[in-house]
Amino acid sequence: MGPTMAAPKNLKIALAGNPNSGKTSIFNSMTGARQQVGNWPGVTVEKKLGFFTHKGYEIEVVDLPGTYSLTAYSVEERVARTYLVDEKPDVVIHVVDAGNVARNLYLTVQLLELGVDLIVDMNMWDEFTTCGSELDCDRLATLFGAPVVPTVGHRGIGIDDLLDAVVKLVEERAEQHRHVPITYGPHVDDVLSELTELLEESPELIGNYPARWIAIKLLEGDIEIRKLLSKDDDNASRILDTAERATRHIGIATKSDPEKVISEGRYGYIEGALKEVLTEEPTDRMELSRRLDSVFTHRYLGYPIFLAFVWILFQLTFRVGAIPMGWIDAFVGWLGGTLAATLPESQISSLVVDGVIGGVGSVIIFLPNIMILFLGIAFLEDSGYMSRAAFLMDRVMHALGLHGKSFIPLLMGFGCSVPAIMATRTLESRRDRTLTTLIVPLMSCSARLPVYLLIGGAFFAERAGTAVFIIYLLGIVAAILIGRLFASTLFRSAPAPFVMELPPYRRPTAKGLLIHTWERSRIYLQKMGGVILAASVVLWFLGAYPQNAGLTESLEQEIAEQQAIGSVAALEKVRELEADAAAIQIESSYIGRAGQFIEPVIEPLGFRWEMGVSLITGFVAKEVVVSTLGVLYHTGAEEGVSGRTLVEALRDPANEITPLAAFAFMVFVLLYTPCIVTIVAIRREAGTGWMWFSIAYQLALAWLVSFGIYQVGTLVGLG
Amino acid sequence: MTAKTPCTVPLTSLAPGDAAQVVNLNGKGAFRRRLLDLGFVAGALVRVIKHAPLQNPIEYCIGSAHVTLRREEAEHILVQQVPVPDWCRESVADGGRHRNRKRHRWGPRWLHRRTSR
Repeated sequence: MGPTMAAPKNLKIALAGNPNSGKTSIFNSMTGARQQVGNWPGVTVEKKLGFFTHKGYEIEVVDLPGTYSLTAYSVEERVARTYLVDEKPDVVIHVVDAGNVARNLYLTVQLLELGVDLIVDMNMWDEFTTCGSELDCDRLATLFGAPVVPTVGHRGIGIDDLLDAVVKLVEERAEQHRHVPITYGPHVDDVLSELTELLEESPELIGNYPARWIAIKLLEGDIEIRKLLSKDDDNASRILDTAERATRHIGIATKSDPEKVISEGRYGYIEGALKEVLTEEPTDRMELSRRLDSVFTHRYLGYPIFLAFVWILFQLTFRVGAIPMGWIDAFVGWLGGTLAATLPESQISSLVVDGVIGGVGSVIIFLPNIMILFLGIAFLEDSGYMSRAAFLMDRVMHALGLHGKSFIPLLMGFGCSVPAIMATRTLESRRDRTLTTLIVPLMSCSARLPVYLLIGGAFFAERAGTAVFIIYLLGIVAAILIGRLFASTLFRSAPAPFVMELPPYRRPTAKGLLIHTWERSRIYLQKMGGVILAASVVLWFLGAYPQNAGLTESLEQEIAEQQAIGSVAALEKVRELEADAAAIQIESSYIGRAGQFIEPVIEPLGFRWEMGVSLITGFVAKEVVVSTLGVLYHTGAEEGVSGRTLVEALRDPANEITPLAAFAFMVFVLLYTPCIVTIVAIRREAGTGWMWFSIAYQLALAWLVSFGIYQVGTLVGLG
Repeated sequence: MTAKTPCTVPLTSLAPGDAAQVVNLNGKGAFRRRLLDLGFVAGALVRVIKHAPLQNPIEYCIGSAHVTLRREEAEHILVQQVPVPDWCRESVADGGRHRNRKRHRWGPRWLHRRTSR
């Protein structure tokens, strides 16, 4: 809103800072649970908003992505600087880790150059002072022209002082804002003044940006800023020319290049300033961390400990999580049953019971998984162990073109792809996140297991275990190959270096963990639940319509007749007829028609149309494949009419399913597009484009591999 | 800055416990800038903390932060070895072991054997 005459009663403030500077704990202390989590427009970088009041001001606070700098190289940094320039927050609070003040002030300097009204928050002040170090905050404030306030974010100490400083800065804006530009040595400074003058002559070119900042960015070779000036305009081209000449000149004069000279200049300036204000005890604050690391990243113990942590996390998420899942399942089943019994039998009741309640059920069933997994992940992250895990696993994951931190999402994929994909948020780079998201569904999730057990049991008898094992292995091999393929083709342009900070180990706070867990769960319910629900209803519709009224009526009549007889044989007949009715219904539904329609496509894989239909219904959830097969083969999922089980029905030679085709079917279930919930999760984490890509590549992969297995197997004579 | 001195070596040629001063940075684009932003500027003091168990990412200390780099990335950083500063000699010289601190040696002895080369 810029500097207005009267103090606005509404304030917009932004939190900037390095990763691991405790920005989140400051944010949580300010807002409590009153947060909104979403994405920044156009990118899948998380945007957190919070609201609170302080001294009569309605304050809206934005948590900017954690960055070390403000370049155009990473999405996070672009998001941060675009927000600062375009949205012009009233005050920017820079959260600084006091224990690592030099590197943090490097961002402070850049924020000042960007011309924002800045408050420097010296966070983790307790850690800093217990080391015996001293920092003259007032002197630093004078040097930088920005108030400096010490805080202890995770204990909420100093937050009020910080907010008082915000209010004070807003109310006395005019006199506070006097930042002295830093100097970069004679070579750069001369050019900077020349460029700044040129830029000031044509203000229409630079919009909201300060001219000097643009000049610096031009020398640094910032792509975005160059683009901003690549206009058909005499002044713009003159400026670009000058910048280019200056870049060459600085390169020759300093035997370096401007980007390096400017970075060195910033660090030099900070070093000079700190000499005046900082008396640091020459101790290593990583002392305790290093002692812990001598166990956690120990050459031999590191991996067993890591695997033990991951095993515990997995067991908690999926074993312990299964208990509340059972309750939810039972409750949804009971609710559906009760409603079905009370509502008059009609289309509406079918929609409510099967469509809506079934849909809601399929959304909330994952909630226990998500809550437990994210509580665990928050613990690993907040304690600092997650970066150590990445440190241990990077060598292995890098071979797949992934990042060390990709391991945990991939492993969670064996439980359920949905929380696993949500867990890719722990990866900083968008490239790694997208790549991991694309690969996670190849890890065979637990919902696919019932399909393998059914098919394996039916066709491979004692060797079923081996068959299922091969399937799991195949998923891992596919993940490795696909990972390498995508890393060397689609994601080649953006190599992600493994420049990762190992923060000191810290005790996580209950508040931080709970807020994080609550946030994830809410995102899942709010942002994904609706879409999943809608999709479930659509799929229900496609499975239930068009209704074959004539046929069902005649069947129903027959059923009623047989029921009237009431003998054992008649009741048997009723069951048979009901199974027929269900089979006819799904056969004539849109999904059934689609399954028959795609028969020519799946025939080369050795699949029958029934299998095609079950694959389509498998979009709802993979275990539905089993129940659909049960309905289509006129049996229940376990045992059906005439005492025949689904296993026997599948094995029946009359159905023409060879063991080879059955194996190809298992492979297809492993590799093809995951369930709707996963697809929605992919869209949320990677964007709509990647969602479609994921659907397409998995369908293609599943078809090709199954085709290869079936055709080669037939040729070799396995069929 | 001393641009070229005979003993300028890539950072990867140092062993855990060594200290060095950054002389120059090769590489380009986003990666080089990230290193600059993290403080790998000429004159900065870097210490090698430890190699990951599979030898590949390596933990370095720059400023007061610990940062991991892959071997192929650390190769872009050219340094000059310097004596380890006194204040961190004890904690680093043996790459993470603490010979003189008996009270912190919990657990069996084998747990405290060399953690890195």
